[in-house]
Amino acid sequence: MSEEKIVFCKGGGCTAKLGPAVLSHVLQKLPRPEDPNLLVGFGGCDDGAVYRLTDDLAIVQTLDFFPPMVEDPHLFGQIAAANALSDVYAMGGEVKTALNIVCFPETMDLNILGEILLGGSEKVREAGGVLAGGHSIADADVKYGLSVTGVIHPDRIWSNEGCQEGDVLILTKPLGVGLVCTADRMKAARPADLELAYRSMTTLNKYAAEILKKYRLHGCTDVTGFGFLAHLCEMVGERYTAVVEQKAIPFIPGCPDYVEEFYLTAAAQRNRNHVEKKLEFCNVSFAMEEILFDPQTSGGLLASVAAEDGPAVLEEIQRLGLPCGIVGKIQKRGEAAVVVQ
Amino acid sequence: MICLDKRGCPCPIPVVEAKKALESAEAGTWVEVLVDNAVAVQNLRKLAAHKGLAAEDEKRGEGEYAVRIQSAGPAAQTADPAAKTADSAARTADPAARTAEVNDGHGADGDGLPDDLDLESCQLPGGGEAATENPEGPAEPASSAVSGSPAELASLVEKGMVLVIGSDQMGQGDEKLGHMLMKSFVYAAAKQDRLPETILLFNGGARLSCEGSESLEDLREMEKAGCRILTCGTCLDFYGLKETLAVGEITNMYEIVETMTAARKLVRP
Repeated sequence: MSEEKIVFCKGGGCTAKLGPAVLSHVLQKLPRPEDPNLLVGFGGCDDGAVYRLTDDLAIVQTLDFFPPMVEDPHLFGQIAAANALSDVYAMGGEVKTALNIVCFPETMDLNILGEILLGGSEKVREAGGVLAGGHSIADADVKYGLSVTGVIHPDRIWSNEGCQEGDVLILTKPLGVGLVCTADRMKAARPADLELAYRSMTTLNKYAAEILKKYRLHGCTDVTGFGFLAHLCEMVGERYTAVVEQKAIPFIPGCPDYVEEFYLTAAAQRNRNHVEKKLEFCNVSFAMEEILFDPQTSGGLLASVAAEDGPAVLEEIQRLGLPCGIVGKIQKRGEAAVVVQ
Repeated sequence: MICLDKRGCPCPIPVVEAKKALESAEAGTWVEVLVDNAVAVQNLRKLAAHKGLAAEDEKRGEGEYAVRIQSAGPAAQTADPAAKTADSAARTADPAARTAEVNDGHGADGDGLPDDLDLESCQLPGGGEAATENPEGPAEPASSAVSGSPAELASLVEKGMVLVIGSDQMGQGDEKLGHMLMKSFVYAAAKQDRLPETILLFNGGARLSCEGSESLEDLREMEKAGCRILTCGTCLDFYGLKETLAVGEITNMYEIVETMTAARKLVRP
């Protein structure tokens, strides 16, 4: 038995995340760790944890795993791994080791698992890391991901929240992979859109991060399950207002049509519920709103860089071959955290 | 009123089904959709708001919500029906073609499960994954999408040729010789210019596709070239080999019979 069980009624990838509202509710009740060497923990909204070992060395730890969002197990392995590795890049780190996290039904064809793990290991190798083991659980559904450890200089951590007034915002991958995968589950995704979505999801954020390192970067996150707008709200916090130019948003071409057909996930609606109050939309179409709330699996980096560096960064990122753009700028705090115009 | 019970269906199924119903209903008809979570209610209200349709919802109990949306009729979906119809026909042409293609593929494989089964009769949470609970269940579609076998390799495969292996020995006589012969048979089969479309392994033949088999590499080579390798699940269970299956997929007697009866050429060692 192969394909059928990786055919997912339920919607995989980052659409399977717990809603941000539910999550923050639970996390608030946990005792906060007090260790001066824990430089980044879940106190803020950052992607991974950073722990200082010495004055010039810290480790970055992160993990991510989820159910399949595509039917090809090898492709799923690549996407899940690229997604898990991404958090290290979003912090400015360098990948060192990775461990597999596997949930797999006992009765399923093990060749499928083999394909998933092969895809994952390819991406770890591409990242320059070593796959060092893992843990597997017999479960009713397939889930896969990685626990990743990287290294970083303690003084050169890219915070989510470091953006500064006057910065421009650069998004390194197109939005809409959630919509395309949902359309695909309904057998309605166009091949060209699928191809772009697959290419985007399997592209490591390593390359974009390497480019960004050369410029004056103030804040960075990767766009994942909470969607572009929720991640952007986290970036600006209460301090600034991000003004997003809707015309500059890179997205997969078929997405407005998929929105019109209402191939919308529950996750996108949860994202909307979570941040809607912090947003102001000016003449934004319903389709663009949904694209901006769309949960991304293995999405791109969203970087806040000095305005003068913007064009040069964009030019280099464009050469990576995915739709990208300077999507907005950081301004003095207004009423809303994010204005889309 | 048209009623759709979409409890147990994850988004976007309730909203997509509601949209379809609204588009085919007469103007003024109410479409009631039952769903089991508040986010689905919001997605349905979003549909109504976007289409400018009247809507109401109520919570009927724990995990039960009803959303009613009033259809504006098929013609009212746009100001310019002719243009819109052409446009939406163009948009759906591709998916329709795809669906037809998928269904054809299934038909040929004797797969009783339509691909969109889960859209029609959604699994309730926790009750899903029929295949997990019933590994001997309905046959799988051809694994071409999964293995992504390239077209140029597929040309090696002779459509309708089925290789049937019911033992791990070839011929009757000395057991050791029988094993050796079977090993070289599979090896030689893998080196042929024409490969079978499907290889059926059952009874002692089931051992060939499991860990420890000396024929694994040859079978994998054929699978890579586009052969479907199907091993009888009952046999794997019987010999306690289920965990060690190392190539191809598990099958059941229905698929074995269907494959054999539909074959143009049956080959046995």
